[in-house]
Amino acid sequence: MSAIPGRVTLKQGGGGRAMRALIEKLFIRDFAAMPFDGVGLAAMDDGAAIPLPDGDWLIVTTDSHVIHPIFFPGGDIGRISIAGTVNDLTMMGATRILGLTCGVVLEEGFPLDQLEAIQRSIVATCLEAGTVVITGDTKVMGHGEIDGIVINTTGIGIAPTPIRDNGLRAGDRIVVTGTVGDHGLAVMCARNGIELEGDLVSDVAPINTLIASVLKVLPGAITAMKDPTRGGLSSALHEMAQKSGVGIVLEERCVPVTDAVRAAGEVLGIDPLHVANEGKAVMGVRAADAEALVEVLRRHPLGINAAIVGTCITERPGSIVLDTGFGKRLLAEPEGEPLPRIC
Amino acid sequence: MEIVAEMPESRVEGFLAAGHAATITGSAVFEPFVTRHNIPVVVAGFEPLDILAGLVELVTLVRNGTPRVVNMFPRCVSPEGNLTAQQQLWRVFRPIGGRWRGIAHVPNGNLRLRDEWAHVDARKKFTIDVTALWDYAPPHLAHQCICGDIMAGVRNPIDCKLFNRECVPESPVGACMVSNEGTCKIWHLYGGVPDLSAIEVAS
Repeated sequence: MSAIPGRVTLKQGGGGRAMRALIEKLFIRDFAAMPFDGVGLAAMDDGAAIPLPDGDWLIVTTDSHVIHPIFFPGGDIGRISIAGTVNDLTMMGATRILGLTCGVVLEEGFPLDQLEAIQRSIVATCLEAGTVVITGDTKVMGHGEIDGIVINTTGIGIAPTPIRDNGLRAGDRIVVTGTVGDHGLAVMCARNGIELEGDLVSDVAPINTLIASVLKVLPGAITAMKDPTRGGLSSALHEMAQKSGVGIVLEERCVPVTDAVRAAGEVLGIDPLHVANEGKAVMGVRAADAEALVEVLRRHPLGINAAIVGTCITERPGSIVLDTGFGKRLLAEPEGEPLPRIC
Repeated sequence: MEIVAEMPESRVEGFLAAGHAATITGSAVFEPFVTRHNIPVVVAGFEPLDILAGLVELVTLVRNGTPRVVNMFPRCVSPEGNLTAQQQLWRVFRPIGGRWRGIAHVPNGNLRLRDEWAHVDARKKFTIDVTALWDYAPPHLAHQCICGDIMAGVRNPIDCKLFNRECVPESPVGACMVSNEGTCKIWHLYGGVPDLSAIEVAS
């Protein structure tokens, strides 16, 4: 309704269908037609994969980060800038991160002590992920020309075989590496000054070491993988199901959700399945390996709440059937920023 | 609710009242409505089990012919509601009549900022052509919209020629396609009433 014809809308950056349509129509079309040997822009995956002469693949991904507030319970824009890019590489199978670039655009007047805190956070998160920033760029714009700080990071890593988001097959089990909805609801409450009892903290973390632990023990068990960021688990599963041509039955009672997230979600009328996670992966796993894989995940501190949450089916390709325990319904595909319930 | 209950073609036999609004207003606010129209009102929460429990109670009231107000959301809603919030609300707003798309002009149906708050009133600070906003959708589409009938419970979204064609959430024609609580938006998002009973997962 608020859209002005001929102008970009916020929804076109929201991670849903409107954004995919803009990207497909405007950014991808020309490049998709140009020759490229590897996984490129047209795949709309978490990153690109370039085959190397020795049989390995070079994985490249880039991400620009804006967030309000820039410091939130459990993290800040610096931590998310590193974790986000490390996790995108990881989702493509590149758990060994060769290095990152970091470009920072600042607004004139931005507090230096905050910038120092963000830098400390960037360094700490790099140490956790076992990587390092190897080149960067700094720009300062005039007061009011940009809102505070924008950080872009690009990452490169090596994968023996790229893991795609379109490899689900009927019969595969769906595994999440931990609780869902933590980041989205923590930031939403912090942004709106909503104080709820309990520990509502973002899960933002680099999970390359978690996924590496699985790939080492069970290579080939993961058929598809994605990080459920904007749009949450629902958006990630829809994209994987649509690209793979399968349906997914999601067992709602099996999806791990903390009490704090469940309570905040109920008060605001926001489904934890629809909001962002920044330290989780959702993956398709060969049925025979699923339980062993969850066992391996749970041995890692970032995977203790890992669980099997669903199964891929041939019916209803592209849709997610939510089994609530007392009935089934189709899970809606999130569109734009989730808004609190009004009535 | 008053207008829907009074529509001659209305087939509404009971209302599930919205739990969040009732948290502020209290459940007693519905008593005069029930007395006037002999239609039961059940205040319900929003989680699936809340809705189911509300529906069970409502169906029981309809079947037994015992119209009254029942509060099935007592963990949030009290009979008198949130008095502090009500005080603040009436300190800042006054009721005013307004046109509700697809329904009618509703007396006291809207809230307007009181004159003391004119300095933060967008209606006074900016020149807004409100009537132009009413008819945001092209007139030839707007007059085919059956929002009113859908809200009255006499027709379903699939009975509307515009549903999922000219009328989608990205460019809604009627109010039912705008809000996440609108009937048409819900049918659009959840695929109507799909039959999922046959779907089984081999385990």
